[in-house]
Amino acid sequence: MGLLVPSFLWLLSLLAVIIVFYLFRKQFDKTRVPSTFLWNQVIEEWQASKWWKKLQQNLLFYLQLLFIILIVFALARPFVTTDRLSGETGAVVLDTSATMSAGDGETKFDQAKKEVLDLIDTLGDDQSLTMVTSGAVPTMIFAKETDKRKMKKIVEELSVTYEEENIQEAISLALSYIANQQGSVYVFSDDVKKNEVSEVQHQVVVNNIGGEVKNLSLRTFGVKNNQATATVKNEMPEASTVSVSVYSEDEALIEAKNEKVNSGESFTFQFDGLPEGTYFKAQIKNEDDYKVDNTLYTFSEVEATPQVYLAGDVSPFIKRAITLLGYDPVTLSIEGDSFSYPEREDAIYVLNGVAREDWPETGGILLFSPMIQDFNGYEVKEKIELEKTLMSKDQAVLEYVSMEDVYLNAAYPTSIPLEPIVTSGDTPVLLSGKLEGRPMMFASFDIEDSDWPLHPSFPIFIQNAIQYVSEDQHFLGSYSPGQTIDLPYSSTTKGAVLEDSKGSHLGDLSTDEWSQAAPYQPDLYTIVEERTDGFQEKRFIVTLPSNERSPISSESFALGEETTAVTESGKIEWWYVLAGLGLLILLIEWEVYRRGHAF
Amino acid sequence: MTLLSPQFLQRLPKHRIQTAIVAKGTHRGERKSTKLGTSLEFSDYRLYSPGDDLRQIDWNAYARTKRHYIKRFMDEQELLISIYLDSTSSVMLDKGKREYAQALAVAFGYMGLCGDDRVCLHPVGDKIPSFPFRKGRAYSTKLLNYVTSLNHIEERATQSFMKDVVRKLPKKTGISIVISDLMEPLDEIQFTLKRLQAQKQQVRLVQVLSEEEVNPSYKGDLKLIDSESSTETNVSMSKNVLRSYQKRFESHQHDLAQFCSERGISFVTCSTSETIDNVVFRDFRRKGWIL
Repeated sequence: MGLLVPSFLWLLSLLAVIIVFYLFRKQFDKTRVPSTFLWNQVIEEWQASKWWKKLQQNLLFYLQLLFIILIVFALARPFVTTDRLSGETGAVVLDTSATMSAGDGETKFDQAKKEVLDLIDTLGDDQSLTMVTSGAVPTMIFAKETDKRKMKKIVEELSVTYEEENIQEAISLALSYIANQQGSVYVFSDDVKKNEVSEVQHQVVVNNIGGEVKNLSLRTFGVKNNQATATVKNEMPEASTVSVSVYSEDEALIEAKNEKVNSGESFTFQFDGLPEGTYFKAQIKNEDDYKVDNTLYTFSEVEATPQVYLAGDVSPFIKRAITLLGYDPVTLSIEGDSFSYPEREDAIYVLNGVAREDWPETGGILLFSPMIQDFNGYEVKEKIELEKTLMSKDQAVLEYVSMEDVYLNAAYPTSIPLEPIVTSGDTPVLLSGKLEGRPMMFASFDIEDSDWPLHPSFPIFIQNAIQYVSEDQHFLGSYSPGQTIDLPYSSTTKGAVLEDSKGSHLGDLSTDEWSQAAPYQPDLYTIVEERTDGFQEKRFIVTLPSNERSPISSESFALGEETTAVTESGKIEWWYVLAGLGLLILLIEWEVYRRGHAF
Repeated sequence: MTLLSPQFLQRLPKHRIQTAIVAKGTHRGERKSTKLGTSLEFSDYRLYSPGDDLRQIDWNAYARTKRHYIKRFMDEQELLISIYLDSTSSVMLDKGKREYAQALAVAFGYMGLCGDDRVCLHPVGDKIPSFPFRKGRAYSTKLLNYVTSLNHIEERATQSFMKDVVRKLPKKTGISIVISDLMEPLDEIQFTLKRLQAQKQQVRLVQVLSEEEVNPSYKGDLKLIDSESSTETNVSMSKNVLRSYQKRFESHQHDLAQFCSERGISFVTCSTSETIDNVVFRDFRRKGWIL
């Protein structure tokens, strides 16, 4: 035994209504009166009055008829057909790119959401809907869903991701869900052209939402040598006086400039004599419909990616790997008896066979082939042959690097006070940690003694190692919304939190994960790292993708034949409306009956 | 004695119950009779015819006229007053109404006894035996006590007042004073009053009503229980219902008044909101019931 639709058991709550009815039923207070002689006459007269009696009797009669009719029709399960969505299923592609956040008052994205909700409302009971958002990577929100309430709830919670839209991929993803069925693809975006979707086999209905958007766009902002340049483009239909302000890192206004810019033209503002600062902010003060592109942050001079310097006889394998990783390594020459190290704090040095006394003063060090020497408490001994296979510790720097497969012939035993992360028996092979307050990766072997460079894990290790030793980097660079950020945490990091430019706490970051998806909202973010020796701040910028800076709208259109061959239009059953009305009638009837007997 | 104030009681003997009917009693009273009798009041002379009482010959008249005249005097006789006091639950339930009705009954009885009339009181609906015909001022206090004794809470006969009255019809000519709320079907009232009149009674009808009966102020949904028959009536009070009640009430009063005027019955309605003094010394006097 079982119940087919147990959800209808909620109707049991009607029992409560009935009980309430019972509790609040007409109660007559008993009153002794000398004589009811006249009262009886009154009541008789009341009941005898024709219109009342007739109405009362007929009302019951009509109500009963109405009730029966309603119930019969409800049992006949009436339905209405909806013509909006034809076919068995449909797919919605919703653009969540930055330009969808444009709009005067109501954003385009809100309008699009409303239209999607309308579409869900007109869905027939047998029709399913698939929804895909077109971020940088198309995301399936729900597939072949029929539960309208669930769908609506999910749609209500969607928000703009500021990514660059990828409509074509999103449509392909959506199509893969409705491939074998009849249905159309509904695209809600702002700037989809016909040629973008012309190859789709199904019917495609493109809703390009929004009209003209008045926009002033801050295209570029850069600072160098206490000079700042900011390029503004006027995308308004008329000329406009643009006001650009530059702020320092503590949100203090440094300078504001006004300039009249003609429609469709760009203008570059120059700001001279900027004070010292790590980053600056430029902002358009004018009111426009697209707010996201009005603010830009930039770091002063400091390059976001660390500079890699090579010193000593660095193996070509290592050079090659570093170059492959996108760094532009600089090979340092020997001046006198030492290397000419640049005076940069964010530099990373790859050393090969460099004696301790020749190491640079600052910066991270990745060292191969240590010199055999004894230096202030630690020593590097003669190379010995290794007999045991390499064992690696579970360290973030060794993520995706499997040392067990690597062959290593010999290593220099060392007593350097670093944490061994790869060992062969008791012999440390790879050590990491902080030496005299700066990060260091110490490989106590010659690269020629190993087949490691031939493994695919080698460049990964080099990347991890560079990240590791460049951990004191304060500026992580610029990212697109949702892009992956590499976060080289120190081994002393206890925890990290993410804050936006206003200093509001956005969430804790897991220090086990060395990569993190950037937030979607364009802004300047700060990662506050808590270490055993204090706090450290790292900043990064999330900027709009370049082709999301102009919110342009195109015409809406529909392509492809509507699948009318075996059109099965959507059906929405509404028997429950009738059943509900019937129930109401029943209650009214009851009340009428009850009143009828009160007199 | 809380029914009547001492002042009121003191005023009562100064008044007498007036009636148009001529007393036809067997006992001597203070009322003029149609018969010639032995009172001090001179009536007329009549020529002596053989057989007349020799003692009644007026010798002074004989001296003047040399004819035998018989001097005749008016006879003074007593009046029979029957008081029918409604003692059914409908009157007894409401204290104000009950005391009002009893006070009126006492007032009539007191006046009658002080006026040397013969008075009886029937507490109709009560199981207590009636106050039988008594004459003389001496009984006035007894009457008061008797009426006070009617205030018991024992069960009462459920017969309707008017039907009970019929069982206790007086046998001789006199005045019948009926004190009731008259909340009964009109035909029953009519039937009883006709029977009273048929017994050569001059009927005086006093209706005692409580304020709640004249202007009901009930609210909400009420289950009205009849005090006599215990029948229940559910009424949802509303302006319309109250208005309808008042219409019915006025119509009932109108029918009563009309019937009384047709049958020559004197009819007074009094509400408990009026003072006893006003009713007795103003309304009853105006009606010519008392002098």
